[in-house]
Amino acid sequence: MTGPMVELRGLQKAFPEQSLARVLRLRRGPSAMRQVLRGVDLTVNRGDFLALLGANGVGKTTVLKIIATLLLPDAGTARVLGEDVRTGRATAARYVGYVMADERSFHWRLTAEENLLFFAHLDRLPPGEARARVRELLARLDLDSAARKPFGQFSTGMKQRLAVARALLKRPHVLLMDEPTRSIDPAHAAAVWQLVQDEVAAVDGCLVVVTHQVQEALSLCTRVAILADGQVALDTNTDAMERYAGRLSGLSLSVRSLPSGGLERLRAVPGVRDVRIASQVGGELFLEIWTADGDLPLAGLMSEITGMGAAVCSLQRATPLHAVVERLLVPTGQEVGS
Amino acid sequence: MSPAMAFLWRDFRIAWSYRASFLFQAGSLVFSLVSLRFVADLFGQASPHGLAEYGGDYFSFVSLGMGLSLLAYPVTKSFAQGVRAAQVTGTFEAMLTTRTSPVAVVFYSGLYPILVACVELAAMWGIAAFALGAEFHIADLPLVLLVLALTLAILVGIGLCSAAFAIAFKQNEPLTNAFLAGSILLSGIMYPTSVLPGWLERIAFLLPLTHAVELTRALFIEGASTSSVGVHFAALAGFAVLLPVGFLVLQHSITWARRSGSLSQY
Repeated sequence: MTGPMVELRGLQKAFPEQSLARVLRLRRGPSAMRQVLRGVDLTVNRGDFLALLGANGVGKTTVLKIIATLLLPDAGTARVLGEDVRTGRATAARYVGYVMADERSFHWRLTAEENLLFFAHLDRLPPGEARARVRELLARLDLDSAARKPFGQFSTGMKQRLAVARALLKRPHVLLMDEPTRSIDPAHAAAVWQLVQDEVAAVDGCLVVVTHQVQEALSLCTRVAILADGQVALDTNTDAMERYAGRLSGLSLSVRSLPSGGLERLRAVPGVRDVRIASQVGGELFLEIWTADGDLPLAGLMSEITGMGAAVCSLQRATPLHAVVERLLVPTGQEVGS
Repeated sequence: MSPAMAFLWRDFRIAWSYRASFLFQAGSLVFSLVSLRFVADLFGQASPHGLAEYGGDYFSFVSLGMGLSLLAYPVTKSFAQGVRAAQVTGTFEAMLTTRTSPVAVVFYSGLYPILVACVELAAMWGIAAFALGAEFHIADLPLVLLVLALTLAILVGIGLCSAAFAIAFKQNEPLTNAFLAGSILLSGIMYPTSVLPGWLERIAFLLPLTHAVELTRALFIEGASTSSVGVHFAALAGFAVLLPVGFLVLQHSITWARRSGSLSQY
């Protein structure tokens, strides 16, 4: 196999606008379309570890789904190992592994081992190899002691690790990961990344990962592509990004029961430059907080959050992705938010 | 293990994890049959004239009809129900990223309920014949199996169209329910179609289950009339075109859902 592993040219995709009136069937007729991708050009070569970054709703998952053949583009071409995804589903299905953002996507009454064996058989692994591969991956992800436990009894982090194992079953040459370590503790996240690096190296493949964790992207990836306005606004190496990220300070915070208007109140805390929602898992909201240089405004934030009746689930120092993206996208010499 | 076997094994494991329901399902079959036996005993004393061309025994008549109607429900519903369950749990998208083709994923999703329905059908007719006194006499087993295979193919075709609807619109469609209700009413499951008014009898002729039921009775019951076997067989064979139609509609629906972006939604 020569040439790029993934090649996207002029990729466009629009989706029908979902409005409350339409969901409640109060409005009929043709839906308004929301253009998500407006001509994405991206090449991923053998050995690339690419982080795909961008704001929520910008189309990162759409790009992954097109590569995985779950979606067809409206215009442009998407090739996986030289095969167009419109006609070459078999190639993509054989060589692409996809860790989806929805970690619930298993059979809850089956054990972890049974779930993985089921997917291994759908991937046409011979029975002996399937069992050995399942055992190997469960051990590498520290799930071997829970192999016989029903999936329904797994914690969110364990479910995410099992989703990683599933994507790796067929030893994919193109590994796609959508926020794969969002709910995984740091020790297990490190094990996930070590496994991913080993697996990608073993097949001389490539990785495309969507993440909101800047440190994770910087430590794992060699390239960063930023999606904005439906296009790849910037495609650079991680060194260039690190120059900006190193000078930004912030927090990653997850909260429950944040009332409406809560974000505005947090933005008004002295020492806070901006607050954005990175993602949401169940009732838990993951926030990126961009802070001014100097001491972190921890006391002010805690007081504001508890004052609103919300609860902090986790907190860690982290470079705010949206601040990095904004800084990388402004023309040279300008500063945003300073 | 082949993907088809993997689906069968998965669905058996899930069904077995609900043991009470699993066992009750088998028990309910016997209760239904015994009820029919009592109803037949009641009618047997009256000897309804419409049953003459079916050998005159109501229990034999109705257990064959009920058997086919019990087959129709799971076979036409299993694919759409499998798709909807997978959509809601999020496993559908995960299965579509494997090497098994999307059409095969949908088809295999319905295999276990169909297999169970076939086993139940065989058990029902076996119990009816050997324990409850149904007067079955199979003279031409290959022809019986061919009729049952054609019936299954038609019902699978309808089921695949229903699954295509579920993929495209994220909900179960109403036409299969209408087909099933219409078949129960008109296909001669519990009474001969000859008791229907003429215009309803003509509509009944347009339902595949009518021909399957008539053929099964002609081939199973000693003394049943075989004069219309050719007509019913030709009609049933014609309806079998629904099987390739079902696969085509399903393929089209998956492509449409990939294009519209609704494949991942539920």
